Amino acid sequence: MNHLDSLKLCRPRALILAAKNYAPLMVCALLMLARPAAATTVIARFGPPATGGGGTNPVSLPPALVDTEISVVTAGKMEFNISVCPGILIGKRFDKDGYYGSGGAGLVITQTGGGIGGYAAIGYETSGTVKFNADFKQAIGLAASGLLSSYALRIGAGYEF
Amino acid sequence: MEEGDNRFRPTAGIEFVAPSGLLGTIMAYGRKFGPVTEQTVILSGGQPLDLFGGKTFQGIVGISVVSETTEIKATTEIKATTEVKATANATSNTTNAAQRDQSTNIGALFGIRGQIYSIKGITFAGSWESHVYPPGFSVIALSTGRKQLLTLNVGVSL
Repeated sequence: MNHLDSLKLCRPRALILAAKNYAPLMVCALLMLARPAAATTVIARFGPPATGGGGTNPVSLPPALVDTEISVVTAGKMEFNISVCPGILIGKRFDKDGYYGSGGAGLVITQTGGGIGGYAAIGYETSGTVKFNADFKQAIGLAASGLLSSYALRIGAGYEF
Repeated sequence: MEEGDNRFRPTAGIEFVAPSGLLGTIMAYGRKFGPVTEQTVILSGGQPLDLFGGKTFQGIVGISVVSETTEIKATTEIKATTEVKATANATSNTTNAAQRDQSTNIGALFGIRGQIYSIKGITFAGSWESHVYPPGFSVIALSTGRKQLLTLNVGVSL
């Protein structure tokens, strides 16, 4: 048997060996290719909110809880925003070329209390599994003490599942 | 107009809309109490973005410049003394000098606006805008101050 024959015999064996070793990776790759185009994205944002206390908002390093916001955007573009400020808000997102606008309602929270109200946000988000996100969100709520206003300018990162 | 303290103040302004959609707005408001006069002028330019899936609501991003002036007029305080009762000319005057403080800042404009009704070149619209300014040049980015505007607009096509 010359060296050419040995190569012919080795080729199928090498393929089988490679398939065994890399099978989990190949399955993962196939699953990633087969997933739906739009999926649920979880975003963590950081940045100081203005809580209706007047004046500017201080910066906390590292970010405190009040500086943090978690957003979940579903495949149907429903948006769930959870933060101390501007509050717990549920809405609808509209995307266009990476930019988005969103609006909805929920519990608006400020230094003087909480109230039911609405919010509007505009932002920018990159595409891909891991996303950069910049978001400006403003909210107005109604409480017994009157109108409550808060906003937050935050940046963060998202992961699409 | 709201300045971060949940108190809304009446404001008036004029807005120009170019055929391309670009917006230019000048807003002014102020108040006077005793010798103190406050005046604020906001000049902004914005680009509407069709972010909300239709023409009814639009997002706005742009640039905003604010100029705030606080002026305290000179006052003369006449303090009556016990001698006043005895002699009418015996008074001591305290004069406070006039003070004037003017500050300018440049920031970003974020907001949404919606068209309420339109007929024969007359448009009724509303907007909810945030004029966000950095509090100074030495601060970390994202720390901001805001002037929030809730407006009702009546427009005429020229």
